[in-house]
Amino acid sequence: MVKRAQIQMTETIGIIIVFSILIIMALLFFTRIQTNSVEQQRTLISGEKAVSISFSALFLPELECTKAGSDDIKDCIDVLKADAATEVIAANPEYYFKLFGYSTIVIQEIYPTPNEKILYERTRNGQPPTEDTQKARTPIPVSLYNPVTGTYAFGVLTIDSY
Amino acid sequence: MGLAIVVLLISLAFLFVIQFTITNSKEEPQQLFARKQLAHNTLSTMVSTTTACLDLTVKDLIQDCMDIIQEYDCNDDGRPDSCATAEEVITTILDQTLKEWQKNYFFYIQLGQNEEMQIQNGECPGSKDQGVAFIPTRGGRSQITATLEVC
Repeated sequence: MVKRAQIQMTETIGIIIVFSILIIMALLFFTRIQTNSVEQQRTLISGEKAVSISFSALFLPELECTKAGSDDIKDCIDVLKADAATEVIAANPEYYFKLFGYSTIVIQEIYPTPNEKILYERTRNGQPPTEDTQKARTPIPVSLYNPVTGTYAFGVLTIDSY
Repeated sequence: MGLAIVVLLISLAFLFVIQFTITNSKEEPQQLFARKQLAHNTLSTMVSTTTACLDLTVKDLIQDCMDIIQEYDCNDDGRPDSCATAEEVITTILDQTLKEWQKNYFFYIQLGQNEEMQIQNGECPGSKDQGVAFIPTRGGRSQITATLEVC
């Protein structure tokens, strides 16, 4: 009689222990989900903004190629216009903030002469972005047209949205 | 009875974890946009790029490469080398972009039905996005098809 009661007691204790472990695991799991979902929501919003900024930057009259007959080359940036645009953007930060928000837009030449130019940069904390800064990156291959030489370089327009 | 409830709870927990993992792996709109336009944009931008060889574009070099008699001599050694130059430029561009971004790709050029040039980075067993550029041959007898598949 005593032995049977002891067995039942052990079983009950075992179940309580397993049940407690399950509850602890569930709590840990939900805490992680909660933290992740906030971060995911932020990345998702940044991602959607990155797409919209990509379109704004690609079709910006300050950058677009205007060579007659160049309409057969899509996604084209005039490098001379880009040089001037960098100064205009720096001189009118509030106007371009409405277009690009918290983001970094970089024009990078891949071929023939690798180099890069930061067109616009504004982070949430006002500090230059680091490797750890959370961002949604959208790279778009573009032609970089030089109207003086009439040549097209291979470039990438990179948009980091924060 | 107690053990049955515990087993049931563990099963439910596992189902929940699996469901969360599947939902979590969904592609974000920006990732989808970047992936969809990548193959097409990379290819169209690449073929219109001016090379260091006599200010010819990649398209010009491909056209010359696919011709019966090749003309362009990029390194002035008296022998036409448009095929080698085109391959070198394409490899450089793809290495600096797709490979750098850890994307596998398969680039190939076909003259009619025949595959003439292949540049590959890794295997591409799953889903892929494709960009295609049609280039007429110089004589206009046939069609050159340049295809870039991004995995």
